[in-house]
Amino acid sequence: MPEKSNNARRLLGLATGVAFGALLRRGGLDDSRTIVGQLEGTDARVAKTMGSAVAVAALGHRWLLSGGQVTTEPKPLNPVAVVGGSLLFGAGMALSGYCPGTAAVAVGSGRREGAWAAAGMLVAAAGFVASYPRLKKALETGGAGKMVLLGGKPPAPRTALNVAVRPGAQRFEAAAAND
Amino acid sequence: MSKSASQRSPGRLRSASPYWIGAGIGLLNMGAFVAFRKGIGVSGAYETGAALAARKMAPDALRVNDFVKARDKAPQLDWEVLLVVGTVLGGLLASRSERAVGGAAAEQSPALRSPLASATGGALLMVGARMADGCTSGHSLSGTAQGAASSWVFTPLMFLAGSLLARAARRLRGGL
Repeated sequence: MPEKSNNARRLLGLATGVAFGALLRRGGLDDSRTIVGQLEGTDARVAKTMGSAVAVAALGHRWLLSGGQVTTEPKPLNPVAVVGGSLLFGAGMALSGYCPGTAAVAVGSGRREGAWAAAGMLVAAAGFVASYPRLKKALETGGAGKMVLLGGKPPAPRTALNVAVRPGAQRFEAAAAND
Repeated sequence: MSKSASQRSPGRLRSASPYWIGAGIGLLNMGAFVAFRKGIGVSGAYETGAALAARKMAPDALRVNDFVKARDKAPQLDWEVLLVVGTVLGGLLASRSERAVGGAAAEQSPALRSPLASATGGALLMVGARMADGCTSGHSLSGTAQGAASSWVFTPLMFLAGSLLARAARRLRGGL
């Protein structure tokens, strides 16, 4: 599939988000009580929603892979980052009753708790921007690369196309090489 | 099977079956894989949004140049950011249309936690998400579907930590 123009991609992104937000809202996932209920074990909607979403997307991804229409893009298995991050994330989700996506939906549906959670998220994101350069090395310690579990297809190797569509990257790579 | 919270509270439009909602999200994600060569993700957009704002308002204080070098990519108002904007819009439109067909007018659930607790929780989880380079969407919805090892580590651990904390807090408050 040819690279879409930036504006087409932006529009598609917006539309995808609208559908995503509407679906989450219809499923009641913009309510902190739903999410905390899942964590406390009294409400199974989060697990059911995510389980079905993953099942459908997994089957679909395999099918699309076999047709050559998609690639596999895993995040790298950096143990410090992933394990540490998952624990902090779980704690934050238990405390706030939201995640980044559901908080966005809650902002749209007018829930104060969601708005406060989102505000905290934005502040933390800014803090992360400022700290990331110093954290990067620690986060990547012991990294195992972009691992895919058995049966999955590893990501395609970097080809000339991958470099060409990120023209700015070469500048930064040159700068990094001079550090 | 016990009723969900929304089905128990009178006057509220019942939320749709989670299986259908989930299937819809899964199909949406398939479209994303094809259109963007990347699944749905949300936390990255918060980081990009913060970086864009930082670049405009406090580039030196927040060391935006170093951030851009470290990320090897300049922050842009791209499809990922617009996806989150769309998510807000989707929540707005869906809740408006529900009210139009007779859903509850009062949207506000009782504040179960202080604004500080909500914001602190949000901050904590965002730090975790950016450390792990993904959240419940990027890792748990998209990464797991692609068989990503990082996502299959992130997701159960995240749920475990969250469950333990939520249950401990509930017990402290005198419930469960």
